[in-house]
Amino acid sequence: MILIVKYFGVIADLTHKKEEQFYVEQGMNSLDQIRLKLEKQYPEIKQVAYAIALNQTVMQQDALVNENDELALLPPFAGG
Amino acid sequence: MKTTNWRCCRLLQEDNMTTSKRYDRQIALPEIGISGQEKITAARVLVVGAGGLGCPVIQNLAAAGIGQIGIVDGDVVAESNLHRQYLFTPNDCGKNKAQVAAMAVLKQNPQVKVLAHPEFFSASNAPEIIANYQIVVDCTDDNATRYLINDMALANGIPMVYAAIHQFEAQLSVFNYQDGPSYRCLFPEQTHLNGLGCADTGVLGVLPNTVGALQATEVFKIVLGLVGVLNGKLLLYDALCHGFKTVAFERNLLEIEKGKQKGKLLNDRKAQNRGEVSAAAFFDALETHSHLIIDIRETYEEPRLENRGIHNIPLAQLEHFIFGVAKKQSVILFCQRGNNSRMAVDYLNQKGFDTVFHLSGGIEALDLNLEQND
Repeated sequence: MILIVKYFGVIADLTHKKEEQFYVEQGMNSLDQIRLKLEKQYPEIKQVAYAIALNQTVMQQDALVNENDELALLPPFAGG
Repeated sequence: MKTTNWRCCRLLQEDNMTTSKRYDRQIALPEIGISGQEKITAARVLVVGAGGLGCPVIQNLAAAGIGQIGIVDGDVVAESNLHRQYLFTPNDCGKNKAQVAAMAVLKQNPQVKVLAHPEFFSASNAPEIIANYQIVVDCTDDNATRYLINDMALANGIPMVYAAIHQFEAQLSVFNYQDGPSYRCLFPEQTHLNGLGCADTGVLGVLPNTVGALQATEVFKIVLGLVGVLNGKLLLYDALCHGFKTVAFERNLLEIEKGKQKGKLLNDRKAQNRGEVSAAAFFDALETHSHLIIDIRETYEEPRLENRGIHNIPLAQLEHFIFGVAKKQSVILFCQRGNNSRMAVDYLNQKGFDTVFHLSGGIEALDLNLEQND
């Protein structure tokens, strides 16, 4: 299935993009599975703490994901 | 509605209640009015960090007449700050930011009270600094201090207005507001990970000024009791596309409790350093007989605490009584409201007693329903 993934802050710096369509295989439908696939594709983001919002709500790792859902990877910002 | 408020505004000036024409335009708003201006005037807000975010926050709070503004920053003004921190001038370089900001903002509005704390917000000074404020605004540039601010806000039961920036992006939220989620609920502490500050990544001067104004807006919404506070919501702003996006997040009770306990621990440590014990510690000492407990009130003062572990020694007889007490004895003193007992702690310290405490707030601060009778 296809998901929309949005990247913020230092994660956008590391992935070199702010948004993309992200393909995940059949049966890969928990947020945690998708996080692992994202971290496999972009290993550097493993160094960063981040929350994941699913369709504009921050969710736990066991949340289920559906076709065309929007994910946002939200690291804490530090600058002030 | 507006007409009414304009009339109120004139009455306000005639009564000389909240001051001058300075606030006419905001009092004219139906959501503010005289009562709202009184709330603004009565508000006490602590701003931690007088940098890119802190400067616009302080300027906006002072301009609108926030009654008391505390400014915490141990840093000095640097030339590289001037492109975004508009409270400072080239002549201020090398001077403490909190002090310069306080002086600058007093020129802007002499009607507000501004307290400068020329030190970094830390575990050792946080309890003392934050104690007198109703709202804390997080304008820091490191995440360790954010957890400290969050924990102190939780322990003191006050909201925290958070913002942080990264290049052209910003985050904004209000934590611990009306039992809402905390910073830890959104970002549980992971000590091996950290974000980057402005010095590392660069910043366009207008961004913190935009975001600081948004932070100040949240402060006013809280003070005035308006709807739409970013409670349980993280606002994401991208200056390049002027995109605003909001994501929701929920309470995590474990994270809230963790933060609250950390904050309370610091508060308790501060109290002990001042020679105070809490009601809970007082009852604990009564039960365990760990301390010599002395009621220094006159015998007619009510209510009495009937407990075999308590010695009733009015203040005038204290000198005679302690003559026979070993200097290493741990002592807890209490009186009606905690004032005389505080002085008595100093007196016993002078007499060579090292471990002397007094009951904070005196017997009137105790919930006697919890009393442990033996």
